[in-house]
Amino acid sequence: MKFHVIADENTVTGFKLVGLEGEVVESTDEAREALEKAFSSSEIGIIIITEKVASAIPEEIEDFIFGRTFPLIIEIPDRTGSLEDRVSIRQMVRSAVGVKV
Amino acid sequence: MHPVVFSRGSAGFTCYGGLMARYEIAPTKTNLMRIKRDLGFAREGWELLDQKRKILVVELMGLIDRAVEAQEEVEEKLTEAFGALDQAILRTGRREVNMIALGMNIQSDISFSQKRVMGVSLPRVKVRFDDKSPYFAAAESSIWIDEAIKKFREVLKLLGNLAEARISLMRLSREVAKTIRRVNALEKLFIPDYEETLKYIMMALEESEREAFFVLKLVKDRLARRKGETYERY
Repeated sequence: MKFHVIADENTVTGFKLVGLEGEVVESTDEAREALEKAFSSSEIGIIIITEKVASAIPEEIEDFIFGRTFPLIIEIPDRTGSLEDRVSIRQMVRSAVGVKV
Repeated sequence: MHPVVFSRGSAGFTCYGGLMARYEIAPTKTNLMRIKRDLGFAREGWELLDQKRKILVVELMGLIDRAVEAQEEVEEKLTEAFGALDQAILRTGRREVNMIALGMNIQSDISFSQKRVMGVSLPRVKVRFDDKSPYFAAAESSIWIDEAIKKFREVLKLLGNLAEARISLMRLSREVAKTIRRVNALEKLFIPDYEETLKYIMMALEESEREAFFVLKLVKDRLARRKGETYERY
């Protein structure tokens, strides 16, 4: 199975340099569409998505992570770095489990 | 064996101190047996769920550090990679970089396996690279493209690990939250309510037993008195 990138132009170009396929998205609708398409392909194992794109479609991402086994989805920061209001891993776990870790 | 769910009626709902409540149910021997059985079932379930929660939390704790580490590593490498890419685009132009990207011949292949922890499926990811260099004519390109390719490859190598840790963590933490909710529901609501109901039924049964006993005594007494009367008549 392969990687698939859904991101802005820079990120997609970067990953293209190492042979990954990707889709440049610029709007919420495009992002949603690209995600649907990526999901329906049986070739794709991991979807790489930038935090910015992911924050535009949080419900879809959540569905993906918890609803289906494959493909996996990972969020990465883009050229401009992490989003300010990004939930860190520890925060995420804390809010789920209710204890500080 | 399955638990019988009684309505937690609001009309005849008896509250003790606001929290405890018993179910509206006729105080009979049959119901007593049923409540006893269900209470046993609930306690057993609570114990199992509590164990599940403990196991999941242990698993979760082990994963957190790994996930945080993987994420930091990826982010660091990614910043470097983007820096190199910017330089490459600046020096050779976006068009050129895209052209080179088109000619890339690096194949990456991901294979998955699964690990199941307490019914939660956690992915195991393996990424394999298959790259055939050289990628392009050396004379035409800038060193920054080389650099960008190198850095992005490093990122890619780490991504499999990150995906594995992060997704596992998210699924586990959701399962833990679910289990905690169930354990609490049993512990704080279901079991005390059932215990309260059980107490009520037992008390009611004892009361009616005493009543029956008393009636018997009374009858016996009256019979004895009547008998005495008849003796006297003769």
